[in-house]
Amino acid sequence: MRNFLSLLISVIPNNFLKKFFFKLFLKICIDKESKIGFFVFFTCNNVDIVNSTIGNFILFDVENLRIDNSVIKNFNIFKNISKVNILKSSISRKNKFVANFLNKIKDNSITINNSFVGKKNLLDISDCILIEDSSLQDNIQIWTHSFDRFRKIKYGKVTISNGCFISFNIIILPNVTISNYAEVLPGTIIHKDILKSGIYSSVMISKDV
Amino acid sequence: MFKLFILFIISIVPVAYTKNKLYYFLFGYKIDKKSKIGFGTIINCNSVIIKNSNVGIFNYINIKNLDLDDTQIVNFNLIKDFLILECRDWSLIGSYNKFISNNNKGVLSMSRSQFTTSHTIYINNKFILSNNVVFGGINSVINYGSEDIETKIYDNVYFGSSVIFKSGSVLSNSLIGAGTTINKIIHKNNSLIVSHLLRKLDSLENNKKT
Repeated sequence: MRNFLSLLISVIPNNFLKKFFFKLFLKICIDKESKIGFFVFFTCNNVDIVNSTIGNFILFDVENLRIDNSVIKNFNIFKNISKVNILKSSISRKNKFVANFLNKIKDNSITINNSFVGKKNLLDISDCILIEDSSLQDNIQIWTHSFDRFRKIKYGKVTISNGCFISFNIIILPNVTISNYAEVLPGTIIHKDILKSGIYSSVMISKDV
Repeated sequence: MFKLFILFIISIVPVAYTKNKLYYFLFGYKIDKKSKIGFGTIINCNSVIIKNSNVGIFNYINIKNLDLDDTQIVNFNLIKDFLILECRDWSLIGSYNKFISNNNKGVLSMSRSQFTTSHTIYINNKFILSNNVVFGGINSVINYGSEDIETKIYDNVYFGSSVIFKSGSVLSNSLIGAGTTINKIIHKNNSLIVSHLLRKLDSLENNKKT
């Protein structure tokens, strides 16, 4: 019933009415300065949106959601996550913040603080992800679960903090920390921690003789 | 063209039982009662046997012989222009995959194996997956370059995300790391294969000089 109501309210064209009905029927707190686009669908228990702009066609299938001073553009998906904090950040279009409901820890969360996230990224939130004071470009994959040789699942947090620049088409594997103004070049697979500043890559060009 | 139009009309019939009967009477497809074909899925084949399987919505399957047994094909897949697709024993094809052939001679056979989402697979010869082969993650490209070499992947092989794999064979109990590019046949069992190792460049200019 709650989901059906959320679906109906999400197609109301007027922003003021939409916020009013969200608060009346679903107890979703959205302040006066925030804007909610067309077809933004909430299935959340606790929502707190302050001074933010949320685009069209966005799914929030989240238990606890907090968005503060941020911009989220169109066609993003947040699914099967227990906690989402987006603070002073900008998220571009067509990103997926997704966890498989079978393969995830109980308190999986994502925190994006003072950062930029580009287009068409896939962030697997089986465990926790922290992105702080950093910039992520397009087509990036961040994985927080993996499998060993005996096909047993392993979880690991991913932390990107302190002025890092993650370029295009990069894959970040579980249990990785990137910090201290590191710059990662396109096409890199990051499988271990980067704790010192510098330029990093895993792609080499060679010619077969 | 007329057949395609009729198949399109059948694909939008809402009741699964009616759809299965129409397929049987008009084209001779053998689809049992436990199987379901989703809305908008077009199956354009010469012979079809589907047992205890589910095919999701908006798939396009255009091959000569289709044989599904205990299999699930999820949504929005494109399976096109090859000879035989055989899936058995809890096989799974996820969403948004492309299985394409250039020469109409490909054969894909899999049992207890999985493709997750958004992979592209070129099938120009035999492509055989033994038990427990998983293509995980997203965006893998398999058999690129359209070569006509037989590919066999043995038991218990897991491919990570965004793997690029040329045709050949992979022996059993192997684990292929994310983003790996495989150009040649892998001869060792029980191996972990990666091709990208992270390194620090001093600076871009120094790296260019060396």
